[in-house]
Amino acid sequence: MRSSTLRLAMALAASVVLAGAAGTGADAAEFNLRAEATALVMPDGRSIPMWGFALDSAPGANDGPVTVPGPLLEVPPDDATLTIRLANNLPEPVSIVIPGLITSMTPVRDGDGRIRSFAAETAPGGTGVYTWPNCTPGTYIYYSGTHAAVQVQMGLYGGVKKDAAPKTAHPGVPYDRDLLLLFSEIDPALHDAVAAPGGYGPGTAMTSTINYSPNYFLINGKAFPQAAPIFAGRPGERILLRFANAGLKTRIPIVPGLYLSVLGEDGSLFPYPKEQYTVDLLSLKTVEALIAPTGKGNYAVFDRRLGLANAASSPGGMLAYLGIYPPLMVETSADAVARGETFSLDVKLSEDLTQPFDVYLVVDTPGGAFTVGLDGETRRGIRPLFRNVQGFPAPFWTTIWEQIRVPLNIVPGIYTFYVAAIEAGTVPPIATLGDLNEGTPHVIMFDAQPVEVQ
Amino acid sequence: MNARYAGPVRSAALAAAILSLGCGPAAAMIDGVIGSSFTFTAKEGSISAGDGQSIYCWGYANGNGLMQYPGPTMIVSQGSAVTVALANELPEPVSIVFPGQGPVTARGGRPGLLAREAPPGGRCEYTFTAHRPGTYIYHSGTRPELQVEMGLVGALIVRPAGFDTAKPRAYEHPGSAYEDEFLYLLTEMDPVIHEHALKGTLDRIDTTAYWPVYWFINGRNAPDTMLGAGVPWLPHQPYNCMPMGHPGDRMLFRFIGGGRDLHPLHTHGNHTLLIARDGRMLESVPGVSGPDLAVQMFTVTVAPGATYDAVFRWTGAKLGWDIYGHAPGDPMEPGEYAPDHGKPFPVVLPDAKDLAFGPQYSGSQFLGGQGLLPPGEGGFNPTAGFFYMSHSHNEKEMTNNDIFPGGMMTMVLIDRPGAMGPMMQAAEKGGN
Repeated sequence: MRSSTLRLAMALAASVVLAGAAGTGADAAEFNLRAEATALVMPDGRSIPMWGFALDSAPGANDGPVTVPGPLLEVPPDDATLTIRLANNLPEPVSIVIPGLITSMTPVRDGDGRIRSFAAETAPGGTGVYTWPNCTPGTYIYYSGTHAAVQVQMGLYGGVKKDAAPKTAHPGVPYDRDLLLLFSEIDPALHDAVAAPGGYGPGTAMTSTINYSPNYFLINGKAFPQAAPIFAGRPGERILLRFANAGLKTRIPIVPGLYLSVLGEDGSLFPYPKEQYTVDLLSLKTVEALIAPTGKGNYAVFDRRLGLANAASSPGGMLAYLGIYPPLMVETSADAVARGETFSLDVKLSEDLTQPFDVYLVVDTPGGAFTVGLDGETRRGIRPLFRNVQGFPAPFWTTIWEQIRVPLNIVPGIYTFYVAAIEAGTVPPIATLGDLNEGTPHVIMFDAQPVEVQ
Repeated sequence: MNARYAGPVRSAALAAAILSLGCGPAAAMIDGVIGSSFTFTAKEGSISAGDGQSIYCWGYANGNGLMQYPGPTMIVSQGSAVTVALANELPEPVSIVFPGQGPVTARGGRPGLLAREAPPGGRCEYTFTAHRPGTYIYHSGTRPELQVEMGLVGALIVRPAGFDTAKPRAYEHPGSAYEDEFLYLLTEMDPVIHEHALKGTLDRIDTTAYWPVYWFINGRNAPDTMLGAGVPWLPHQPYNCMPMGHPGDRMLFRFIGGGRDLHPLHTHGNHTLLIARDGRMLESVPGVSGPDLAVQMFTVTVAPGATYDAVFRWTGAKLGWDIYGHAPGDPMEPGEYAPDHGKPFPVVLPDAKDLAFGPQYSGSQFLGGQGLLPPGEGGFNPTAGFFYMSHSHNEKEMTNNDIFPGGMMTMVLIDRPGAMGPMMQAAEKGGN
């Protein structure tokens, strides 16, 4: 997630440079999209032919990866006009439409008068330019407006966002971080038919999408368990979730562990936010909602219409986790374990630290504190787990212990795991890490996680 | 006008025979298990569908009682520390998630994707504090696309602090006051999945091909929804849904989307005032203003996983005639709609020879009225109440495996002040 955002930022920077060079004005966001065939591999190994979008650094550069969903288009707050230059590497004409953003559109009709495309088409091998002159703040979906019954399901969709001001979704609605959660589905029968020569259309085995029946269910292009927990923010932050549904079925995203403040839909605000743990997300709707979790952890978000299988295998589908992590975090696989059981222990670092630091891991037990070493051995006294760490690209996440077996003979009670980042080469003036607090000298950050041994 | 009046009476006919048999404790309070410490057992059993079909299910039993569908309705008090101990007698791990409650801590069992799970033959325990009042749902967090379908779902009601049974409120705010409350937990089933589970061919279940043909309110299909609660011939489906009240009563309907489809729950007789969703009042200033953003609806869209609180109030308003047949000088009845007092019934009823009778027609068009009936007609509405259907407005869902009527449908009974229909009398007596 983070790296693709970075790529996007770089691409954005490139396109802004391009815009300046082309003399189209400083207040226009320009994106070079390329429609092209690709494939998605489902968790059960099935490879699905897809059509996706890539973001190129310049027209014809062909340097962006083709993804489904397509790249998130971030329109800077100051930019009134959104321009998409579309290159078409697909075998049929495509176009771009964005419900909710107003522009003049030129529908294309077949010879018999029936609408084939909602907007001007870009022919195979050609390029087209699409412009939205009055881009308003909000979350939107872009998708192909040509032969939409097929092309949207093939994967030609993505998100658009525009803020009213930096880190402000709408006037009076600030946030610390935001995250797009784009729901979509796949009926592999359609994709296989479209990918096969002469496999789809009049006179073929599949003449229409009337029997569309999806059995793969994706959030941001991934079916569980493909997506690692998505880093969403820090405890206490205001996190804006941008829900979007590019599928044909109604979805009801649910976050059972949190309430969402549902702000609005289709890019518009409600007069008052609504407190819900479910979201009504119908086809081609977008819904914006704020969360402000106070506790760290992975918060499940899933489809309450229970698209939770990958074809006939389960679990799967539209299940993801919103990672709410402090900058440094110790995480255990269980809050409570019985003696003889096993659990695992992870240390997570999700903030770039420029200064070198040592990492300590200590477990405070009913019988006294032990330092934990990388070998899993425990020692009396405080010793670092990692020394002189620097230049960690965040997020850094390492499993210290995969299978900690709780000895049968230890004393039941609360065992607290402390992790701390200490200025490299220093020793905090404390007897145990249990004495740590925010003001302890040399301590950059720390976290604690209790585990009840039963 | 005549048609509007006759409609509910005619529709009520299908419920007639059963209603007269109603004998269980249908109460103005929702049936459930009251307390803060619960022991559930996930186990198997077979429910009876509205067409007589027997469907193999998994459900939560109260203690070591019978599997029940839906699971026990947990009724707890705001602020209480709630503990649910879960034992598992099913062949798969099971768990419970409590959307809207948090944080939930769990111990025992093994880690799961949404909650800790009790393995087959094992147990685990969940604890949370019921911080806020409202209507909530609980269901399995283990393979929910299979286990919710199989029946592992139930309702959780959190009473506001200071709850007074004489002046009940759904939330702290007086804008959520009511006289009677009723649960509508909406689910649906695809029996093909249940047949595989019964045969032990779980690996042949494809939940993406799910195609429901049964639709339930509180675990029953119509017409069984209108039977008494706890009737002995539905041992696995103890809850009914037969709202009853008097003109002017605020009848609180707690709608819950328990399955995986959306259902447009439609009321006859009047709109409902939607005052809350997901356990939170529709209010402009949370915790302060009360349900000032409540909206009148004749159809509430009940989304899966979500809950809704709606107040249904019937007075006969705007019928344009006096529902009691009063003369203008007669005294008012409690809850009567004053502007229509003394207004005559605007239709001359045809001669009895030209009428078709339903068994619940009392012989009079007036609330509580009795009239002459031909021999053998009537007799199933001794207090002459008015019956109003409430049902899924997706009319396909008013069937039991392709047989109409049935499915997600029931009746709301409005009785005249002071009168109690047969089921209300049973409730007053505390059951049989």
